[in-house]
Amino acid sequence: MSSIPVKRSLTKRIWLQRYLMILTLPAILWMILFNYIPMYGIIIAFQEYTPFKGFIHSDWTGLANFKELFNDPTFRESLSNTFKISVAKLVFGFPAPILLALLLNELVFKRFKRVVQSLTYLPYFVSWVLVVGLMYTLLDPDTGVLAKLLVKLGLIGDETMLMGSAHSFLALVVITEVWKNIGWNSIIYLAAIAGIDPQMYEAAVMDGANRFQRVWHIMLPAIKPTIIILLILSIGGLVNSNFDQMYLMQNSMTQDAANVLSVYSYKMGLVSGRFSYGTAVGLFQSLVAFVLMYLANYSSRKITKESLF
Amino acid sequence: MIRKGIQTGAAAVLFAAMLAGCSSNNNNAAPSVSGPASTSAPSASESASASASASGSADASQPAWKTDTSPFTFTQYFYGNWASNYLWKEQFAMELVKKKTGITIDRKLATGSDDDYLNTMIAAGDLPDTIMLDWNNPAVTKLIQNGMVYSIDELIEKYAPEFKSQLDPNMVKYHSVDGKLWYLPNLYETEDRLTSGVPIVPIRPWFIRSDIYQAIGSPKIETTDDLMNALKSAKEKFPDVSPVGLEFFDVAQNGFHGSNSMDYLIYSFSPHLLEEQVKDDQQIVEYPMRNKGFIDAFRYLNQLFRGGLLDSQLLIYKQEQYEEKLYGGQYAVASQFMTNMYTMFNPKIQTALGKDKTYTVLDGLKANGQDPRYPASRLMGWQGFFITKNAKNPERIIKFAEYAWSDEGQLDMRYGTEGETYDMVDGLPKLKDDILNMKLNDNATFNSKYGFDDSTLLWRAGKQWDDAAARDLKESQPEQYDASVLLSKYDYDSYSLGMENLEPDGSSKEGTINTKVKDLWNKTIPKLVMAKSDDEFNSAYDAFVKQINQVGAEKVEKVMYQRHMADLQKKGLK
Repeated sequence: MSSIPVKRSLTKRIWLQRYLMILTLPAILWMILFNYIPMYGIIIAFQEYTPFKGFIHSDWTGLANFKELFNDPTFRESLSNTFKISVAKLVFGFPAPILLALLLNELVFKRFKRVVQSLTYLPYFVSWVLVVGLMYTLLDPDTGVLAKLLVKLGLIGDETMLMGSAHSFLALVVITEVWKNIGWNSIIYLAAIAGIDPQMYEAAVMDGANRFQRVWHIMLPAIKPTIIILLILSIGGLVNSNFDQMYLMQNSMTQDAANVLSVYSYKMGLVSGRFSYGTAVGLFQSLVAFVLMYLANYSSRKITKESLF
Repeated sequence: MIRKGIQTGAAAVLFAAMLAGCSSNNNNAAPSVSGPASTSAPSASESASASASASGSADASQPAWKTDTSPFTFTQYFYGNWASNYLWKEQFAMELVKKKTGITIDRKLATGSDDDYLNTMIAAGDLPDTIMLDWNNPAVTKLIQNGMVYSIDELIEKYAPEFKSQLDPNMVKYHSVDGKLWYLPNLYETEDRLTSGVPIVPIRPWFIRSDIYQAIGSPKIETTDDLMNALKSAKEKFPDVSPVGLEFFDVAQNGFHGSNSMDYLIYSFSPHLLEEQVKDDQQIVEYPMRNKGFIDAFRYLNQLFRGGLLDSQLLIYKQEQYEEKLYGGQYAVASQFMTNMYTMFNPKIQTALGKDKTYTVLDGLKANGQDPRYPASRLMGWQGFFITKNAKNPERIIKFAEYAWSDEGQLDMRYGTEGETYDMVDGLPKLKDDILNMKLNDNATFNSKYGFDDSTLLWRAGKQWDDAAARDLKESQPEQYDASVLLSKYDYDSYSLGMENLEPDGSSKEGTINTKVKDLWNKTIPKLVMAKSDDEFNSAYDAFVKQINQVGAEKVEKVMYQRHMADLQKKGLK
């Protein structure tokens, strides 16, 4: 469609795209139904919500829930945990798939490349429940194979409870996250790399560029927009540390480290039935996410001229 | 042209599917009005005969439930995701209820955490017809205050007036809230329960593996020090076996003792815990964590840990992981619910590993020269049977409750049909031998075939079945009976202490503080148990006390005192 330069009237353009429009309609309806309409429920963050009175008639409390929030030490702890974990995930987890994609792309033996690629993205399809169950089994100090191996290698002491220590918690969170998502996330970079015009490489080779220089001067600049957009998205996701992973990995010994915003919101809202307070936590989280993403987008637009919106 | 047609078609189909998806969702959201009719349709003929026979013998004095025995299904949520045995399939006991009353209970369990499930239902206002929920669960207040459940008295008055005389007036008094009864509590026991029926063991007993006990020379284990010495020799002789096994720790789920296995130690170190918690001069009921003996129980665990006798893994184990190791006989000393040990673990260990590896119960432990004391109140009830405002036909449901509450309903649930599944022996019901054998040796088949005790779940106190249960236990499981007698000698009646249901309502201000205190205590337990020295133990404990004082523990302790007074009042003791 974009190849037609003539400006047409709106109705005409809609008519031309009618099939595409019909196809997107279910998705739009879905969005409205499941994403926009439920947003109405946010108002209970400003109420003392009782189910019997409903959304409209529950008593209004203004910002009382938020006041309590900021005075609650557990909330502050969960906030700092969230940032600690998310920043670690960003620092280690963000470059990893880029590196993997670059390495995979340099492989000459195509079948090996395909095998590695499949193997690295398989863990993405394993649910966190299974992953954490496996971790408990593999890292059990008495019977765990992996724990025994680490002891043999001298990396951990005998009888170390990796799953039951606040010290190893952060490392385990980041390692499993990277292991699980590296392959999947690298697909998007591989696709971007595949889209680079081969003539550029050929020209670079003519100019005598070596492999490393080709990567640095051709490939990375070419996939820069992809990297920037994904970076902006992940900065927006800084406050959304993975709920499944945190919830499953916490136990009485690691709960200090594993108490993140989403877990806290869940515990307050659903487990103890303080619906309004739980919603206030969730709302605060969304607000911070929005501000972070906006700032990331803004600075990226200023610095690199690339941006999401 | 053709391609275009396909495109349009595909788009239209997608769109239609989407719309269909929405509309069917909407149908589901509305309480399934068509549900009962469709599920009960197949049994129409059966019920026709049932109602015919009922109307044949109709007279004015008959109970209300007999007036209508047409097929009727109501939904029920049972708080307890473990209870798959309670689901209505084609078990004997369930079929019997269906045959007599026409009622089918469509019982549902939570798929994940029960509190989640329940709170979500309450928040959405999407409740089933009835709910079975622990009467002291924080959500109960919510259900009542929000007007989401019917008052049982009103329903009785309206639809089944003669039911009222069947209810124990003491029970009604104890369980009424704001002058009304909002639920029917099951397992409300009467005063004679302490002297009749199966001996009460109010703690999780500790057991020792028989072969290990013999190998270390069968020493006397009467005090906490004896136990420690026995564990030391067990570890020397069996280095591959974990010396101690405890059930999972979780304060939110198990209460302040952390793990159910702790009661055994706590009531040794602090035999007068409940009395000591009440401070009448300050008008507070103290948190048990302020009690020296209570903390000494944890200090004892710490000593075990430092002596290499306690695997710290236990602090992060889930119940399943613990039970798996117990099935393998991998603990020298282990704690487990009495009945489960004798009907599940020991039989399985015996077939898999041999009789010598089964577990024998330990006697109560003396600490600091004092005998233990176990608070054995009669049960004030376990779960309440709630009829929600969503119920389509509360009349049928209250009439059904009358049936379930009656002697006939009780015997139907517990024993089935006389002559077919049980006989009367000396005035007490007794299951037929083959069925009793199946119950003891193949519990899973017994449950799926007969489902006795699992149908209406409205267990009511009664001397007849209490005595029958005691006789059965004595005759068919002498080992468990002896173990129960051994431990029940430490029982005392804690009824008059008024320590039932003290924790504040979860949504109140004090309830929030209480949650925080529990959370802090949950974090502190591992620190205490794994402390490397006495100093570290004490400083972790001091830090904890300071923290709970900061979050306002005293306010909760005041509320607990008020609730303590209210409990005494309801029992008619103040």
